[in-house]
Amino acid sequence: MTTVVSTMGKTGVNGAEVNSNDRLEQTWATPTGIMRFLTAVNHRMVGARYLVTGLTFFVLAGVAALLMRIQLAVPENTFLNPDLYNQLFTTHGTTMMFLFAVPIMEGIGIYLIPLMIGARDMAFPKLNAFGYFVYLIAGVTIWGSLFFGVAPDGGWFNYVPLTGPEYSPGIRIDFYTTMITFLEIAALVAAIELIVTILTMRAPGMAINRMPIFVWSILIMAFMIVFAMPPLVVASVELALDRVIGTQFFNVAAGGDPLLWQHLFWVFGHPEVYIIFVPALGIVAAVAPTFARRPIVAYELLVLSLIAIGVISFGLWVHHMFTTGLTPLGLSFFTVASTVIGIPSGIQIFALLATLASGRLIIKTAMLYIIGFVIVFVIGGISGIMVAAVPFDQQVHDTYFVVAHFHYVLVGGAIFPLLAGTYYWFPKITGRLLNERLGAWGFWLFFIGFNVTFFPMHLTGFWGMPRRVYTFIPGLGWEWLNMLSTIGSFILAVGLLLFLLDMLLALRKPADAPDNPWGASTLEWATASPPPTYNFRTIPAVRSRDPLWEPVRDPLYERDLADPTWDRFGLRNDRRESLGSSVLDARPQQRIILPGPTIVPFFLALAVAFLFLGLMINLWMVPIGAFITFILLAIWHWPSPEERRLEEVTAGPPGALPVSTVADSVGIKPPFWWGMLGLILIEAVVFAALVASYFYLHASNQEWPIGGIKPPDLLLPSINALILFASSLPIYLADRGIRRGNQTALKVGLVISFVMGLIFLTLKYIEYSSLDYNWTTNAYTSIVWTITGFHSAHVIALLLKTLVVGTWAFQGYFTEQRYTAVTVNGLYWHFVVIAWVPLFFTLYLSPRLI
Amino acid sequence: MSRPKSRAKSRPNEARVSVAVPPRTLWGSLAAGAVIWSLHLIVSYALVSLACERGLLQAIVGGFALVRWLTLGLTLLAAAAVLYATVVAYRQWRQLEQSRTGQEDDTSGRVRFMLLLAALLNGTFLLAITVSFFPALFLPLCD
Repeated sequence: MTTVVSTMGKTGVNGAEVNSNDRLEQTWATPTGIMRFLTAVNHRMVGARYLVTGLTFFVLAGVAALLMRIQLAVPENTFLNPDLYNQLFTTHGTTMMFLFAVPIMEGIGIYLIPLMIGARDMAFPKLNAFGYFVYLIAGVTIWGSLFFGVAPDGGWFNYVPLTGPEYSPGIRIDFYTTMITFLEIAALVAAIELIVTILTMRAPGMAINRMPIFVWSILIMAFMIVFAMPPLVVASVELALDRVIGTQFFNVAAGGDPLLWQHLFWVFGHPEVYIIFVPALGIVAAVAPTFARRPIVAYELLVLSLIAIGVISFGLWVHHMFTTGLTPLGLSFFTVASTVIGIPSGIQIFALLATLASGRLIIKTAMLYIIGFVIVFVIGGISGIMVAAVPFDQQVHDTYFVVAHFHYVLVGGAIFPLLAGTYYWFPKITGRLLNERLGAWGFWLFFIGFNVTFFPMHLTGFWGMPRRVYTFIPGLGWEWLNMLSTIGSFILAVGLLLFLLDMLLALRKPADAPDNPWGASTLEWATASPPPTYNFRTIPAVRSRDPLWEPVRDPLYERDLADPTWDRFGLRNDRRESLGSSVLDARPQQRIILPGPTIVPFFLALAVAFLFLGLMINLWMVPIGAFITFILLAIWHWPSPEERRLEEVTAGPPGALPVSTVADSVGIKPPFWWGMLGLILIEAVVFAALVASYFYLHASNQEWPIGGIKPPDLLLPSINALILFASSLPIYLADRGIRRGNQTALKVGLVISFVMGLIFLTLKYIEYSSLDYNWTTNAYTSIVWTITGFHSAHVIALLLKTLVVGTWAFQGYFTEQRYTAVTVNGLYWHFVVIAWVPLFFTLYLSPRLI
Repeated sequence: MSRPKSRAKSRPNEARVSVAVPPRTLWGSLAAGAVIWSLHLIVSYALVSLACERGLLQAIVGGFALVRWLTLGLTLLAAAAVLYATVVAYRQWRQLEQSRTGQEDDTSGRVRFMLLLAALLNGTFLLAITVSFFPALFLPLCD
């Protein structure tokens, strides 16, 4: 490997047309018209779609909020009926949290991260496009349900038993359980995409101690999504199963427990707030130093506080459950965590203030929003410390005080930074500067309107007004405060309208923004505004945290910039390639080959949507959707004739870095490998949430298994487990074999492991078909069937995956250089096998031991 | 002898850390605080909840219920472990900081950054664990 790096600078790519911008333009082009919408995979197009779609949902949810404010303006108002009010507040909350806040933060990451780290695209462009279509379909479905008057009406946290089959029959809650699970696929694939891109595609020299704080914040957000979303998926699936096929997870009469929902939901729900807040802090850390004309103060402390917030936010969930009757000492641990998280949050604010105080401040609209952020967020933070105290929370729980608190935190902690970010990056994205005068007007109306709307809610909350009531009676002292809030909400709306107007007017004028209008220091400003389709002709080099403020640039980078026919890494311009670098120090390692436009992600999103809609409409759609999904995934990965010609794939100019396809053979892990680790991490959290459900239900029931059911037999399952464990060996031997060029070992290994997997499934079928209970009997049988079914689905997926990899093996696709698909398949195989160890203990041994 | 070789193969270009900080120390001290704090929180909460729900470990010894002693003991143990990780990270960082010369490669700066981050993170988690000692001492257990 050393040779690759050491020769890198000496041998360049010569030849007049090699690096011409025209050729790059052609390579990175996307079809026009409708095919552009259906086939684009470029991160900037997908990112921009996330931003526009997120903004649309934000406006829709804002309109829902205004309707609710009109209803609450006066007591006993009949503007909205209670049913519609319930649907509106549910859709408002669900949209703001799931369809606006998370996707918009991921969208900003998707758009900006490659630009900020000096890459040409993200690690998995097709996955990016797929995630967007999933998000779009889920959002349209949820809003469609509102327009048809069948929207979910159980609040954004959808508590059981209200939302269970008994109290919410009909399709409404099914929209929530099904679409939220479906939507989380989009959040999770974007998270993996962002993690792998940040870890493996940074510009040379951008070691982790030189990454912009914004990049850190997106990385931490993505990791938080990986850990937070699976518990929500598990909760939603359990509720969907209760509603659709009669499981008993939340039915107290059958040993279920409604608090299980609350635990799983808030293990997701609290980090969710920080998933939104952390990238917003990244935006603040990008904007503030630029307008303070100095590097950010206390870089190390900011990274520390982002990581600390990311971790501690997972230890706060019970503070949403202070009134559920849990033990006082148990609650106090969460009070401590809820208070301690104020420390890293405070570090962020103080570092920001120190940056502003010690710099030469230039006040532009973006900075106004940063100052607004500080004021509003600090107020929300202080009321947060108040509700972290159990006795105080018990007084104001479910009142308007809480509504005021979380709007101060979320609007202060996310919307103000987002608006600052819009004014800051709009010229980069569109090539047009926004109007500062209109921007300032918009800011002041928004800031004043926000405070007039939400500050009075602290008081209405103190004076006893519960949240989620569609009206109130006169004489309780709430009238004028509610009227004030309604007036404020319209001032706020006018402020936002001015912001939208500013953007529309800017888009009508010719592109006039310079590359770096603010004189900023990070790499996205090193390219044109808007950037070319390939982002950078010359991959930048980084020597500090503020590369554009460096007095002297890397000489190799200088040479590369000066000579358009030369590329120091040998990146080809006749196909999409970007630089891959090492995880910690960002040393150049490989040329990552990236895919071009394709319609497969669109069809795949439709197929997965079909599968999920089956849970609401007809269960037969589920296996049909799963089968089409499998076919499309096979097509997705199927190598084209050109990709099969290895010499063509690996070709590059002399001294070029190895391509990602064969990188593993020289000891470098390609993005595909990292992506699989990400998937495994997500799956591990899903299994952990299922096991936690099992033990939670166990702890809730004095008798376990419930209803006189005997613990499962051990003989057949033990033999079966041994067969599954043993199946890892042939998979390992197949991988080892092909690394040494042994085609026979590869084929035999894959076939044997396939057969063993098939035997495992057959024996599992025999075991379960002989049981005298099923998933509907009680909560014990529900969780046992669900865990087994979920694991078996994984084994089926393994077999299908191995079928595809095996087909390629028999076609002679793999060689001792190119075998990543075999390795990655093996990784997943070993994971599913290892996952059976804790699951076997849980299902078969724990009922006997505990 | 063979270990550095295999590591060099799996993480080319990154393994030649010019400073003598074993990866185990580096990554261990970086993760220690977060992992121990998480485990401490979950175990303490589960212990107290189970004890109260099932009436377990309620025998009074030395004026405190057994479960309270257990919780306090776990807290001290966790705090001690995180304190150790903090000290290790801080010492390593200070050593590198003091031996810093004018010319150094990127990796040294990055390792120093990771150690400082580890010390600061562990310090934060140490605080979080230590503070939880006091409610465990004073607050009512189950009602």
